[in-house]
Amino acid sequence: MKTLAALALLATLSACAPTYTMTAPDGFVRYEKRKGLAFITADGVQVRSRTVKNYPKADLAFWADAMERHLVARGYLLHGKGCFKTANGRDGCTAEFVLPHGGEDWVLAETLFVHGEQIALVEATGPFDRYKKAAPSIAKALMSFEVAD
Amino acid sequence: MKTRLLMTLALLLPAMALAQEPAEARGPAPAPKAASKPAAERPTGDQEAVDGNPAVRKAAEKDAKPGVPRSTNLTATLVVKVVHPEDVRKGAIERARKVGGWPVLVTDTELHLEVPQDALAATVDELAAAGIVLQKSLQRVDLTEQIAQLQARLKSKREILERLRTFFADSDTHSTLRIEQSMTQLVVEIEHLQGELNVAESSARMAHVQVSFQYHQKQRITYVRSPFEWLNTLDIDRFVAEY
Repeated sequence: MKTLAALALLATLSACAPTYTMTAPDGFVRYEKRKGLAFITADGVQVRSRTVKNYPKADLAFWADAMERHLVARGYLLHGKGCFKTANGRDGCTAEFVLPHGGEDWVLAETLFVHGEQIALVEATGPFDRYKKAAPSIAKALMSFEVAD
Repeated sequence: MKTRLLMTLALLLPAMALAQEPAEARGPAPAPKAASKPAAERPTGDQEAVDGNPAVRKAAEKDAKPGVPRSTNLTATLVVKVVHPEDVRKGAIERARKVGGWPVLVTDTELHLEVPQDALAATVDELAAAGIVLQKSLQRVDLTEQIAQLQARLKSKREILERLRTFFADSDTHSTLRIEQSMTQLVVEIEHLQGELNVAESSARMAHVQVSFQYHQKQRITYVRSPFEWLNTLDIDRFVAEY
């Protein structure tokens, strides 16, 4: 009985946390043991993924718009956005924001993929100049993003 | 004769005082037409004029009163993010020198240039093309009235000086001393006014370009709560802390 309950719990947890796959962007190394995706460059540009609830349930365009409005209202400066299709045909939208952080200008890039009841967030950040050098390889790697349901 | 000279001087001296009196002391001055708000809050309706849109420029010229050439001081302010600020800075200084301008302030994160007004749009465009423009604004201050006032005061003082010179021929020692004293004071005032006029005219000829390679507006980051819970988790500090 206890084993069955444990298996059920495990199954529920697995259902809550989908597995994401993405090739490592050029120049990044992966934290293999972390939950979700986590990559970093030698000079500290970071990429990670996490899952949030798609609640209230809405589509990608809605969330991309809501995210942009929220961060702009917070004072983040939008300096680039765009939507794309991954190699496997999954729709994603990226928005890049500039903001002061620790005496430097940093970029915070948020990429959204909506899949059913959940939203996959791929977040990247780093000081502006270092991020801009890594940005093309991150964009390329995002094309390989997939959800292993 | 002495009495006549002293009477003339008595008539001239109040006129001199009036000529040197600041304009605002003479009565209520019209409200300034520009710089009434900080640059960040000021509408940037003139943006296209900076960008070199000929239609906007023509419309602005049409609005100006015919026959009154306007003297304006232009200040363009930009925040540009570039990967290599030192290269952009060097290039911008070289280009400014080529068109007759010069650098006013050069630091790691700031560059201030003086360029001829004709070269302003091109300078701003070149800087903007070097990176990502985060902010751009243009401040226009009309100097026409200030220059006209300075010129009028200068003219009036020069006329008084000329008239004082004519009194030397038939004046006694005491009167000569008083005339000399007045003339010395007038010369000092004329030099001061001429200096002010030179500065104002130079401001009307040159445009000021202020470029920042750093986005300084930390105070802009505020906490705003979203009705969508997960949006409240988007935060750079949280990202860095949790990574």
